[in-house]
Amino acid sequence: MTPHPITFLLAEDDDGHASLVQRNLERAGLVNGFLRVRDGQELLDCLATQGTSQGLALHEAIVVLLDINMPRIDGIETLRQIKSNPDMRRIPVIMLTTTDDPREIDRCYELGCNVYITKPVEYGGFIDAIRRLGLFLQIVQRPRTGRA
Amino acid sequence: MKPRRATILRKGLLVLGLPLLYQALFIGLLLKRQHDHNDAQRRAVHTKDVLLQTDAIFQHVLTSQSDLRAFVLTGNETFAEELASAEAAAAIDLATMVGLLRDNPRQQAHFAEVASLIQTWLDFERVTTARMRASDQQGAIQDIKDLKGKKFMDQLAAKIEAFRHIEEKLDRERLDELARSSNLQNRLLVAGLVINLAVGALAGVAFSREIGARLHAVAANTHRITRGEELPPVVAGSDEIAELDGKLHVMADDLSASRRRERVYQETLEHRAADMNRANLDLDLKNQEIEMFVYSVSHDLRSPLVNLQGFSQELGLARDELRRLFADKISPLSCERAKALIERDVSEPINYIQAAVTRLSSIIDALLRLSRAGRVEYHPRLVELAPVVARIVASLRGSIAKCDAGVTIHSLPSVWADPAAAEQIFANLIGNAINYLDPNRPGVIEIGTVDRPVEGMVSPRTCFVKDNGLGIAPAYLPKVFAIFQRLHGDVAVGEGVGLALVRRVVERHGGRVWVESEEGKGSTFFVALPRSSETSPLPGVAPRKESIIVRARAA
Repeated sequence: MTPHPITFLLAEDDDGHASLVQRNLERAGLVNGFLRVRDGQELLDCLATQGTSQGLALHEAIVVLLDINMPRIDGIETLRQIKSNPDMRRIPVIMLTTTDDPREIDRCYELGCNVYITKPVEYGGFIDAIRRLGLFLQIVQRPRTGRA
Repeated sequence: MKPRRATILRKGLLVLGLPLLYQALFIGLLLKRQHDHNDAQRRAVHTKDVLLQTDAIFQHVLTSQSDLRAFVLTGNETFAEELASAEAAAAIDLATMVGLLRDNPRQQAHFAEVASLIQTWLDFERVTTARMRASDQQGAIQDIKDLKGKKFMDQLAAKIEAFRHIEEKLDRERLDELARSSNLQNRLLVAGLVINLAVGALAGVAFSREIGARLHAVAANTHRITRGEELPPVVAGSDEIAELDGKLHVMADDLSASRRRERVYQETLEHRAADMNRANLDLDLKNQEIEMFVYSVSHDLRSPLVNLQGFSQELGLARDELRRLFADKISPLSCERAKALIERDVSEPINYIQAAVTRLSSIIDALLRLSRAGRVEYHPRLVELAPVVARIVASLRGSIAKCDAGVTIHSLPSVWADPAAAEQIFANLIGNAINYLDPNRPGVIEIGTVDRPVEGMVSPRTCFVKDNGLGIAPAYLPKVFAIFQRLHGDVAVGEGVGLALVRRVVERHGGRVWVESEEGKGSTFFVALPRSSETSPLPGVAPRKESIIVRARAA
């Protein structure tokens, strides 16, 4: 069984953080696709155009990685919008942030995030989480890809 | 000397005394009546005695007449003896009569006439008797024949009749007088009884008014005291009730005084509680601010730390790989690979690490600036803002020219502020206005004055810095003055400290700063500062020295 192609959609305003995430995903061999945007607005635009010529392919399985502190639309608002949109709420979301405030973590889980990881990232743990999520994702996404 | 007090006992005695007085009067009247009756009876008896005595005297005179006739006709000495005894009896009765009439001069006068007639008779008798002794029987008979004796007798009988008539009349008059006085006394008694009843009733009513009504008032006052109501004036009078009510008033005054004290304590307590609540709210707000501050600072410090940690790991990995590449012999392939590694996996981390270190350092600098803004000692004076703003605009000439912006400075007031702080405030606001202009349209920046009331400030000087830049979304307006909040993070470099700093400086001057903005159209920042030292919380020249001394001592 070949791993299903997954595209990681990272919203992160810090270039360094974005680069680190990408490097670790690549090193773990998990990356088929990687797309980085600079804030929540861009990410939502990207998801909204999925399936159109300039957007992501419709069959692509997506995992969203969200920073919280971002200009324009922040991570929590982005999460809320994704999870309250019937077309998007199946998309797994990993929160990647510098805050380990329990209230913030609770809020993200309440809003429906799948994994919450605190930066500075222990990349070993980070990759494990991604792998588990990938497995879960394959199971979840299979009927959909079958149809596609 | 103390005036006599009308005590309840005295009033009661007065109420009881009035009927007693009447009863004494009543008994007196009765006694007098009894006495009058006795007197009248005595007088009636006396009159009877007088009349009887009169009859007796007349009888003796009649007897003596018949004895005299018998003696004269018969010459029998026995009749002479009887005549003598009748005369003697008449003389005794006359003497008794004089005694009886001693108290009645009028009847004495009448009786004197009777007595003199009798005396005349006795003289006649003696003359006649003497004729008999002188054996002049004929002379004696002649005397009797002359009817001297008979005439005299008729005269005496008439006199005695008159005397008796007068005496009886006198007796009647006395009885009439007695009846009249008795009648008057009866009326007096009835009237007295009525008056006594009326006086008794009045005294009773007055007593119950006096005592009962006032006792009732005192009882009502005790109820008022228990309910804590105001008391009416002390009840009138000088007796025990008035005294009791006076004491009650003293007690009520004490009570109301302690109630007043209690109210004052309670108000003070409530004031303190309100102050405490306010202080607590203030503390809560400050706590939230500090929490927010710590949150922001830790987040912003962590961000470069993530890069430092992550990229140093990357460097470590690159080092390991380079080590492996150059472990044995160096091949051209491994040289190519090493070059690529150095270009990508070594250079990039080093760049990020350097950037992160610079960022950390600038964050720490910003924190220090903010901290200084809270501690720095201000030297406030009247600052003309026009030259200050002109200087700032001149120093920003380069950036202004770069973004092709037009800056208009309207007339500006003077404010009570530290000159350096004033410059800091406006440099930040004008700098922000330039930094966040919309590149798609020519920038227009205006600096001027506006006259507006500001909450918590007395006649402030309010300036504005207005731009037609990017503007701020409503959701972000409340966060604008918080530390490390950067709305347009990609537009300009900075730590997100500027507006936090401005707010801190303005608030330390006792001023306010706020913003009105519309996303896509531009923002207007307002700064209100005190106009003079009177409305400024900053210490003047003299107190500043004092604070230095205090601080030196504390240190």
